Amino acid sequence: MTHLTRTTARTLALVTISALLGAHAQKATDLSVALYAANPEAPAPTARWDTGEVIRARTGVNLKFTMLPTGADGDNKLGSLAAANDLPDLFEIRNRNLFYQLIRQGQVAPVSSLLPQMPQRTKVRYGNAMRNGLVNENGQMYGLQEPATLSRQYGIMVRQDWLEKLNLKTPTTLDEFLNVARAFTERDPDGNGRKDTFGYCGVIDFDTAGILPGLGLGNHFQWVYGAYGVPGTWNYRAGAAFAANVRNPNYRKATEYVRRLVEAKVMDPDWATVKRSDLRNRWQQGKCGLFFESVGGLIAGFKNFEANNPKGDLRFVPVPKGPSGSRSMGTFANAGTLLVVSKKAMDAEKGPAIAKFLEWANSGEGYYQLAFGKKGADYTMVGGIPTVTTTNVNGRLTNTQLRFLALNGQAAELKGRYGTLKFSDGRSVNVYNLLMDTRRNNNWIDRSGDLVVPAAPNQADIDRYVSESLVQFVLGQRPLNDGNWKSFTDGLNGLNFAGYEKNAYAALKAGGFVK
Amino acid sequence: MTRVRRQNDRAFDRTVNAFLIAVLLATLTPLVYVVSVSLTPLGQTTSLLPRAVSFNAYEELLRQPALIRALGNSVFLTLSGVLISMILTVCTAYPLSRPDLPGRKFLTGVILFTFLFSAGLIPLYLVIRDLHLLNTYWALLLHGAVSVYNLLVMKNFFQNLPESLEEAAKIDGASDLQVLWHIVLPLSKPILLTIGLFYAVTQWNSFFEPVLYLSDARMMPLPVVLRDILTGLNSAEYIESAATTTAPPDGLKMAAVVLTTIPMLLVYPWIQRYFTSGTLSGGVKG
Repeated sequence: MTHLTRTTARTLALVTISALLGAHAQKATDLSVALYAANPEAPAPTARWDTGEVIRARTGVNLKFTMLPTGADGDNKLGSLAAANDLPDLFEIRNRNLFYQLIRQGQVAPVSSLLPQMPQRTKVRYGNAMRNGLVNENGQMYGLQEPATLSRQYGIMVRQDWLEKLNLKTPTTLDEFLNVARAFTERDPDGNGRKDTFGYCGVIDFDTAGILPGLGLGNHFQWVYGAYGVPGTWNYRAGAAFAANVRNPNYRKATEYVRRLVEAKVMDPDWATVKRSDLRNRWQQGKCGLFFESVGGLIAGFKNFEANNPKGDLRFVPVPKGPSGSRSMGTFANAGTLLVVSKKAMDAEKGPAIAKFLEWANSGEGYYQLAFGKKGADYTMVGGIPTVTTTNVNGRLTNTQLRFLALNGQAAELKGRYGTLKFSDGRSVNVYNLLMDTRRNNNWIDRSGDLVVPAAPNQADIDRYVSESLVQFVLGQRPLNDGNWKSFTDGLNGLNFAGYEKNAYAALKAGGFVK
Repeated sequence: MTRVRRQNDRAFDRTVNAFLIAVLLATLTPLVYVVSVSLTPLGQTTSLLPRAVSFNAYEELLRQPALIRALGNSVFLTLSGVLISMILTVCTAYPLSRPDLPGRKFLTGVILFTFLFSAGLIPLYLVIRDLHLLNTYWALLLHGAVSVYNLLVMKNFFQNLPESLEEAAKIDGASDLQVLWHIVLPLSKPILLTIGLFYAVTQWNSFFEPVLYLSDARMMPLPVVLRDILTGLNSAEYIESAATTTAPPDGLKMAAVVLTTIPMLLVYPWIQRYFTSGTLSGGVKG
């Protein structure tokens, strides 16, 4: 009896110890992840979040997800958390200045050690030395710089039905562009008997995803500067030839062309003060013949556009050529989401859990779960393309709030995200093809190096000075003549612009972006 | 002479009325436009008065589960915030208004110091974190529960109440708490409602504090969720909810503005008659 009891006791003890060890082995690692919400308009994940459950089951990670607010509020939140040594384990940074500040403060950890632990993800996303250079500091890699998954999605759209009605050809040069814009303004293309249409609709907007902001009038006018060979902020030429484009005589010529658009009254009179949402409202209401828009904006607004313009037909036009044949819609960076690991997380040995989670998100089940939601409920595979099937938009968007960790920008993914728009009269537009058109036909220039250029201490003053001066020139508030232009460029000296250029050149050279 | 003066008075009154009507129209026009845009159906151009009326934008927004939850969160935070703030403010303002409180000047000085020299964002965050209040509503309710400005206004109001009333109550055997509850507070309706409104508006509009102290998006109040929705609608990327909506994007935005404003608009008329006397009498030191 005693022997039996001992055996039983030993067995029970072994079972208990094994169970405890097993429980310890299966215990999920808590991982706090903060990302800018992929779908801010959709509800946040609930406690019984499908995606969270799947992540726990597959990777052993107990995800604590925080949606960062976009813009300065998100930066302020991260800044406050950093000051309190309370940063999340894995988080996204959009403000590069904040990124470098956190490196200097020792708040973020080098991530090179994670790369071998996620071989597939590293191969697909972190194999580009130039891109990795964007996150190197003192020889250490401080961030996981994802490639751009959706860039160059903007272009100039035209009302094709107006072109046909007025018997006009698609403009290919700046002069033709102005002529078409003038006809759209003056020849009543919508046939309502009123002169209430605009040739070109664009606003001052620097916050266009996938395009580098640059100095000046914003991205809706970069194509004009591209036609004069000076798109973006920097010229990327080596040595003494390196300078900001604003110093180039062609920069003035481009500004003069925008002035011609304004003088010809082909633009909305309040273009310099209205916002992108107003612009979108106007083209959807059928007020704009040519306008600057993205494929995403087209999808979001096409229903309202069709309701206002049942016969309306929209196309992208190739970016117009300048006098010397130059053409470019603008500059872009081949760099997307920047993920950073806090030093606190590395010190707590959470690196392997982070790597496992990210590797899972890179391909297969993890990729589809994060990028497209629940298979069979949110999407189905049709001919190798993940196709959204659910009508529960909010549910799907909630399930894909982490999709920036998974998206890769490859063809199947883009075809799944950008499908076909169907008009009531049976016409259809393949948005994926539109996206490819605007990428191919607009001579976008890769200026990824701009991301390593340190902001000047008075960056806001520089931005404002250049932007406000150009607005004054194009609105005619300040005559665009030799004296005033010289006064404008001389004014840059008072802002230590030369120092800004010098630092930019040094950073670009160190990163291998200029020779 | 009297007739001339009367005519002058009438002319003056007419001028003042015309001016006030002009101000009223200037103030009202943007509000009417906001409501008009929110009611404009898909496919219609917006104007000061809508040519057709559609409630699709409101339906769309109210169908958003996140918005309904956020509305509930904001109502809860506002009601409980006002309750906590009022209790703390009254309980601090009343003793400070009594001349016989020992160390009254010192205590007032200490409180005033926090008004003049704010600790700043980071120390406040550290306090909230060390008290383990992060990601709880206590962080929003206790942080700034007492506004020094409101406290001083209320203290001045209490000081202006006739001392004889308090003395009479004390002679009848009332304790300090009984005096406060049965004599002072019933006489202080204007200031209580006014300060309550100040607290309610502050709590209702609270934006950055929830962003900073809360990490669970389901706990966020209305301003934060509305901003997210509007940010999404104005994004450059593909917005699926915008693509499937039956209301124009601007209509959704304006409907959101109307929904946020309505609760506060409903409160104002009820306490308007107390508002002027509350702010004026509290601001005059007797």
